[in-house]
Amino acid sequence: MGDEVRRQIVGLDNVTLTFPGRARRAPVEVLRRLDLGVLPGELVAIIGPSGCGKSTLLSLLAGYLAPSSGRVLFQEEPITGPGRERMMVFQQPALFPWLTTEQNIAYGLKLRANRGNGLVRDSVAAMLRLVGLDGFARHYPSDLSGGMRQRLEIARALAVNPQVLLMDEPLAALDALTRRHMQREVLRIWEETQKTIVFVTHDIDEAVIMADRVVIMARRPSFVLEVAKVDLPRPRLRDDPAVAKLARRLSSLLE
Amino acid sequence: MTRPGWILRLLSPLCVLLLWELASRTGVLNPLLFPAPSRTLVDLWVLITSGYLAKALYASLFRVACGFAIAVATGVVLGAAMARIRLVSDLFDPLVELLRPISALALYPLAILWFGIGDASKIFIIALAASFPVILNTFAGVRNIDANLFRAARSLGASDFEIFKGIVLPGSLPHIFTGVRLAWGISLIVIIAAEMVGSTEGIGYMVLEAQQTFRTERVFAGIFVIGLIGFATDLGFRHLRRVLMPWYRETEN
Repeated sequence: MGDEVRRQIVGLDNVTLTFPGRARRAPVEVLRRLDLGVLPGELVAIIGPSGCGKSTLLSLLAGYLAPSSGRVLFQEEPITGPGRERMMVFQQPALFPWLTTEQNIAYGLKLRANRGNGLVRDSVAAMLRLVGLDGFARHYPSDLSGGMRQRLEIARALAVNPQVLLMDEPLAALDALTRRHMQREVLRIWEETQKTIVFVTHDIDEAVIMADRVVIMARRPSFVLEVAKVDLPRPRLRDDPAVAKLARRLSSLLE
Repeated sequence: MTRPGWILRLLSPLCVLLLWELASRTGVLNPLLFPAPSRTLVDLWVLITSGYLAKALYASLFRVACGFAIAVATGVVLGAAMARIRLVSDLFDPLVELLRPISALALYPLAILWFGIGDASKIFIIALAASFPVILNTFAGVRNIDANLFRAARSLGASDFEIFKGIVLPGSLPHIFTGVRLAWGISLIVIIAAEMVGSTEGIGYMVLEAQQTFRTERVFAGIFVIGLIGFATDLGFRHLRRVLMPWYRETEN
């Protein structure tokens, strides 16, 4: 295990998270002594019963929340807050509605934190190409379809060159057809950029089709029930017997 | 809207004016109470050429501009601070809620006592009355910004100032704009009323003086000018919104 701990890019080490009870209600323990390590370049899917704290786990990795006990680590250093090396992609895209597609992508590049990191215009053009939004640079988010907004959200996150992409049910709000297309798109972007991706989903098929490893979380207070390695060649099809078999096994674990 | 529709829409007001003109000239309507529109127009011309209208307008609009500017500046800052800083909202919320239901015009006698009958008392009550919609709408606007926008900006590396400038202000702009428009409307109402109650110049005073000297056509001319100001500034606001917020899709009306 020691070797793996050293190599992991982000990880949670014996993390417990308890939300203080509001208005006379008892405190809610969301995560209990949870351990998880993600290796550089890996695509890890997290599934679990609804309300089990999947999104909470991502918020910890993003630095929006701090653990009650235990450590949340990026490259072996404790995470103390949000940072450009770990970008979140939200389920409902958190795009800036007053900025056009290209301005949204450029936002992170124009901040003081980014000063001296090359030409904004080149990066924006590269990101537009990467996510296939070339023709929509001047559109506002309200003019884009759901799938396009999600692409833009991914492009804005990737523009600041993070090492880890945290995706919180990024495809859940899309219709079935767009969703399948976006699954392939996320895989393509992952392969092209070689980023580490941690992504939460409630769709077991999606997890098996996309991920290197699938993390199954237990009911609240949640911990890691099992980590399943998906040793199947890509592209994977959902009716492929090996895919279907693994998906069935994982879904039986969730019941 | 197509062009024929636009012309049709002009038809009904023109007919009313024409009937009014005929009725007043033939004595069906008492011309002292309902002077013919043409007489109002002639008087308006007199007001314009004599410079009297310009002087009255200048007095009124100067007061409105000062009071409105104070209301918008303090309203945006206070509303945004109340929405983002707990201490500020604890300090100011009770004050706002206590003062808001009081009609600003009810405070006007006090304002005259404190600031005299000149510009200062008018600017004071305009600033007071017009600041509430700005405060409340700015507050709602800032509070309505999706929390994930702040999170995204933080992850991207934005500083507190960059978040205020890049997220809080544009994110609340649609609401702020609504508040500002309301504030402008209130400013126009308050100035006319205040000038009618106690003043020696301004468009409200001009109308009241005309009424007291039984120059009904001048009363109508004044009302027409006041309406024109409201209409023109509303057009201005619509245009401003398209310029400031091209992304914004208005759902209401």
